[in-house]
Amino acid sequence: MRPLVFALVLATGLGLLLLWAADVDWSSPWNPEQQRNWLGSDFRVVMGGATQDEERLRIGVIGDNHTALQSMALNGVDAAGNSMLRYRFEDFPNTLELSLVFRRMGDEDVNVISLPSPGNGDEWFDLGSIPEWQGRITELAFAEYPTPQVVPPEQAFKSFSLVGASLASRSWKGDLAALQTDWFGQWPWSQRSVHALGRDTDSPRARSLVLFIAIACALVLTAAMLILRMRRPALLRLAVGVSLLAWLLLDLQWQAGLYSRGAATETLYAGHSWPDRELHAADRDLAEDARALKIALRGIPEASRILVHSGSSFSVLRLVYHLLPMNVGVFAKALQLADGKAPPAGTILIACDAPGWSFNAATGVLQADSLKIPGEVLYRTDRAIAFRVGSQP
Amino acid sequence: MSWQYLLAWLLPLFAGSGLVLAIGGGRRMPGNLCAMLGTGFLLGVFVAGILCSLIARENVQGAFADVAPWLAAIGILAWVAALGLRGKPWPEASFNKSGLGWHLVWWFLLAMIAFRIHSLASEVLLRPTFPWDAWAAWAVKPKAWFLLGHYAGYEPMQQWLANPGTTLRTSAIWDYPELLAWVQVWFASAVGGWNEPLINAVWLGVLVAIGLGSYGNWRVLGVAPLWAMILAYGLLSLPLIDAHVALAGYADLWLAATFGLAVLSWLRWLRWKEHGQLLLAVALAFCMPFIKLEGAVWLLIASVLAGLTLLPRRWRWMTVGAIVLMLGASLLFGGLVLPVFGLGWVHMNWGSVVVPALGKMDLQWHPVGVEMLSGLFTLPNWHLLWYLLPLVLVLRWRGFLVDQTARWLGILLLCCATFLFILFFFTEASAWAENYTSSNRLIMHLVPAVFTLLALLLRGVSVSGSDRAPESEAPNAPA
Repeated sequence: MRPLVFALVLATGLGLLLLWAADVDWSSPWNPEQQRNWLGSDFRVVMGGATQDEERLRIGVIGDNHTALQSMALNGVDAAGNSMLRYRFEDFPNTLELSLVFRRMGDEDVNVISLPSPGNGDEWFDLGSIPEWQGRITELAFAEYPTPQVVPPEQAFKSFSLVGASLASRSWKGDLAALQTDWFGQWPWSQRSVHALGRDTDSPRARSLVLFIAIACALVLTAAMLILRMRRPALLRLAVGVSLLAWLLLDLQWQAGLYSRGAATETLYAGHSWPDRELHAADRDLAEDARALKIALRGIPEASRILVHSGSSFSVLRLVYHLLPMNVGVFAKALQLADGKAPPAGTILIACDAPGWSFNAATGVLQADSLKIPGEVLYRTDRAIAFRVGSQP
Repeated sequence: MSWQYLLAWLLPLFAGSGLVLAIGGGRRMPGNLCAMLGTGFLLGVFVAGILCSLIARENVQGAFADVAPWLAAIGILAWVAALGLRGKPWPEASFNKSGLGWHLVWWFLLAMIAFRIHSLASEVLLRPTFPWDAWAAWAVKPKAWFLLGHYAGYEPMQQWLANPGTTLRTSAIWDYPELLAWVQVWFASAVGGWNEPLINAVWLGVLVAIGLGSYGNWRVLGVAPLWAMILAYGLLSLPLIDAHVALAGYADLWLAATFGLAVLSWLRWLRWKEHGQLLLAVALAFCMPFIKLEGAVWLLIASVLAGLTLLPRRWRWMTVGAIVLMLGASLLFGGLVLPVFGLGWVHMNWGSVVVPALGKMDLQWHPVGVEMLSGLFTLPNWHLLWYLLPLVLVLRWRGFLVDQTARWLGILLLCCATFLFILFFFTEASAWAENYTSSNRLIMHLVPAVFTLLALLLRGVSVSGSDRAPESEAPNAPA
């Protein structure tokens, strides 16, 4: 009798725990009361190019800014009553990220939220957890773009299909499916991955799988102690077994993620030798610029001082790294230390993809944001300039 | 793969394991082979890095060719000494007490570890250096030196700007320790180019070294094979540790390995009075400040505690009391200045600490508990480690009473945890906890030692049934 009670208590407890983790609304039905379904072919292409493949939308071309966007105009769908998003893609490349874009009635701005990467089946997401998901929704769209800082934009795209999507009211089924998507959906490496793991996104997350499994272990052991009256050493054996099994479950999930991320890494780099592989990283344009600059400036003395500027701190530091072994420093930092004064004559300035910087060939003056610096151009392309600072007049 | 690159792996292993065996391994105990290989590889890589920094400054691209003969000679001498000093073998511990099922569990976990290493290898051997500080900080100096062909000093940018005539260079990380940079130079010079995946592959070697070193030393400390394998799998399967291999380039994994293996050597000395192990612990511990600045703090804490263990028992509490009184009085009456190896002169005042490398840190409460707890308990960084640790501490606290190694390790980890608590809850470093940028990485430094504590506390627990005192699984102490 006790084993039966133990099994019942365990099944009930774990079930309740799962419902808590999924944040199931007790008053909602098992299946959604209302659901609006759209086929992939119902979506309109806004960025990129696509063809209809029966009921699917086959996205075959990426748009400007390396983004594809498929949109659906809605007639003011009530956000509160349609908070569960289901989406399904096929052949979605592991080098792309997926976002949902939506527009509300009376609001010109669009809202963008990152979605878990689509696997092979239906994925669910609880939009009710997004503060902006309220009022009436007039447009819904999916945007796909290269994984930031991981994938070079030119290399990310492979054709894929949007199979369909739907908006549904809350239901137990939808909540549990959204939990499954959150727990088992794969995420790419990001700069945060050496600090803290998990999907690097501002989108709300479900309750933690680690926490769920820890509570589940505690439940099993407590039930074994109270109902089965298990004592040492049997309880100890159970504790070791349960902990090991729980650890293995978490580790299998982690291993699946490693496999998925490894596949993305292979997509990018496998089959390329080392020097080429550097040109398949996310900043291949900077690497190419740096290689060209190093060739162009190979005649300068080894100790020449070079200050580097670009559009973001990431690209400045990457450029510094790619330009090694040149004697490089960060222009913005030097400017700050020199109270905004131009660098001394003889210093070489390198700027890549730097908005606010321009060179006037007629006057021989480099406009570096608000600074006017006279000197001579050593190398110049559409994206990059190397400039030796001359004497101030 | 070139034979030079293969030798760049094998020579440190050969020299390091020879040194470990010569210095620390007179006795042949169960687990010694694994301990020797794990600790030896790490030590050997450090020796290679140190030799590069001494011999190859003017010929960085030829570092491998210049240093390899020295490393080989060290290895040969160490092995000759080690074989001469070799003692009698100890009896194998009681694996056979476990049933076939647990035997299969042991092999299953070993297969899981092998599979994990394969997954990480396929990632690290393909990917160029990826994480921010790996290329913005840790690889800057070695890449510059290697491509220049010679060593170049670094200075802060203000000085660099003020002295245009010097050949010095600048970087935000101008004062970072340089041991890892020389290790990278060692592998780059063996490859014959700045090939990031092949250089970064040594991070995988460090992971294997942690696993082998921990497993072997736990066995030497009397942990049964099954527990040692369960814990080794647990340690190597931790997602954040794996991420530091897959996305190689940060120094934290090296510090975790060095601290963990130094602690194990120290514990072996405490337990078996193997004086060579104390020497190994000291050697590894002194590498820590040359890996990363935090290593200086771990070295300071470990040195104080190791010093206390050398004192007669009745003097310990008096010494601790005197240190606390002196610190308290100094803080009350204007502060004190402490020379900390690796950090410089640290000024401590009531309400602030000044560390030369980090600047002034005002001490005030920062409520970052939610972020810290989230990083430990809900994010997928540590599997169930931080749930199981308190459980084991509660259930096995008697281990601290009967086992001095567990007691001293517990005190060491408590002191380190207190430092991290003060750092994250009382200084501006709380921002690192808020944005999850370094709190988990600093905690990672202690994790291999935390697993050692778990191993010591669980040592007497037999999963096949009985529960014995923590000491009972260990081989008998020598007479």
